[in-house]
Amino acid sequence: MSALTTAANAAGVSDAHVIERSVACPEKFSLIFDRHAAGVHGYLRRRIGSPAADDLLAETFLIAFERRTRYDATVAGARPWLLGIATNLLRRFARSEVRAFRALARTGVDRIGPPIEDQVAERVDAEATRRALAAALASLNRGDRDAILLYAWAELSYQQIAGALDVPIGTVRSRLHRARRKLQVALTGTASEEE
Amino acid sequence: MNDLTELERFRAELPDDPAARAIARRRLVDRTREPQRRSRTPVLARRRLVLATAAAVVAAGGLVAVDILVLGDQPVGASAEAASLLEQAAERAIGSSDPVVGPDEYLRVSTVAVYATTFVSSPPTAVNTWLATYTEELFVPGDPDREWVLRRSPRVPYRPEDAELAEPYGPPESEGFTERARDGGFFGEPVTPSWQTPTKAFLADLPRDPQRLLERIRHDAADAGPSRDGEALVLIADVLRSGIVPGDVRAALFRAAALIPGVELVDEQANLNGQVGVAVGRYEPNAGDRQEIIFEPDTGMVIGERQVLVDRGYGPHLPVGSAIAWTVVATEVVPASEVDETPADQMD
Repeated sequence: MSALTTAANAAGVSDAHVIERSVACPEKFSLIFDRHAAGVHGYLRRRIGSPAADDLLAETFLIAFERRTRYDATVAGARPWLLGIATNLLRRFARSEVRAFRALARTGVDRIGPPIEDQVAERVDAEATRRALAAALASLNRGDRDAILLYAWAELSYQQIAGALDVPIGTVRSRLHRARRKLQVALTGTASEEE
Repeated sequence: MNDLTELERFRAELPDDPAARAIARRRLVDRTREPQRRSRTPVLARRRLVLATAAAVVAAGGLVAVDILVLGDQPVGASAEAASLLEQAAERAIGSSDPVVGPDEYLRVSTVAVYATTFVSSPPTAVNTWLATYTEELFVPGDPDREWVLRRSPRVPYRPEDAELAEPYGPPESEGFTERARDGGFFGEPVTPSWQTPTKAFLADLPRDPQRLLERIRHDAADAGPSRDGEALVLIADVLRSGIVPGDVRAALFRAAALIPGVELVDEQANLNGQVGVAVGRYEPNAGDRQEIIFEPDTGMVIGERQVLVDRGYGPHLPVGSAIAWTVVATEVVPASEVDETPADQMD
């Protein structure tokens, strides 16, 4: 990390402020990369694996750079915005993402997961759980899957997911509700009614 | 059993892969340094402008120490082959005579530039990178009271495949133009002397001792670029492609390049836009590319510079080994009558 980056972080400059500055001084935008690339990369890799995730990481930040003049300056942190762009890009890979989930459900081997030797060392019930989850994720429609994975893997709040996907918060609630019911059924055979 | 807890564990143990992020960062940084749309700042001034900011931060700390390994009394820098070709070019550059521009003449600096440009579709679901090109003529008057003239062609796709990729994005984003200004102060702003936009005074002020010149380069580079050695060669390439570096400064720059670790001979017959010279370059592991300078060892003249992808391509049209940016520069003394001949929109 460069001295500039450290200085800016130490000064507590918000992402919104950095993005605003980057309109006149484009080079400043690389600070947004330094702050958020690891998180966005992790999310993309978890969904589609490398090398597709590596390419989408680059594209996410190139698109964000192009759209920086339209960033909503009232939102201090840029993470949900970046994850929203990344999630839109993932649409291109929806079919291969679902294929990978199905293959995992069928064979117990995850193309995207950690190396195979770690996988076989797992307990049998953990593997069964993972296969059931994979089958459930494969069965979700794309909007529901985006919402639940932004919630569970990217740790966004309902409000942040609404901002990232540009949908009303009520839509986020119903998508998460539907997705969780399917996951619960897949894991236990019944859906909990408490949500 | 909680569905969310199980989902959070799913693929949670993926090992991190920071190296895979270096390429993405480089693509972003390249993009931020490209001329911006509707920009009023000349391209060459825009590129690597980050240096100015970085240098300002470091300036308070004084000169950055130069750590060059020394074995016996020989500093370890470029490979033996590269160093010998650079030294040959340096000797010829010192022996060469710089063009003399009379009061009714201009120095014409012709540049052909090609570089990777990135476009985003609307809605933003796709990114395409292709090569774009433009030509530029800068006329520097022998008579300092006359205006300088800068003429640039429209920016257009470089190869047929680039045109195909660019087609859905509409017409070229920059049109050609002609600008006139005293002392090169185009676009209503005086020139800020820098490695990218050198002035006569800036060049005259540079140390002629290679070691001290490299110290100055490293000081100016501060912490910009993916590595200190990489950025030093980038600045040398930047200033050389201006086409106006006098022979003695060129010699010092060749010798300074020979002091940079990792600099090696890349190609003895490098062809840059039809001109053949020696390519000397340095692979930058933090960016996955190689910066090269291309010159003629026999004359000490610079043909141009280029950046070549080494580790990874930018999609199917720019595979590993592609040059993602190159500049060819040529200078000639011309009579004043040549200045106004070609309108910008008819340049190729």
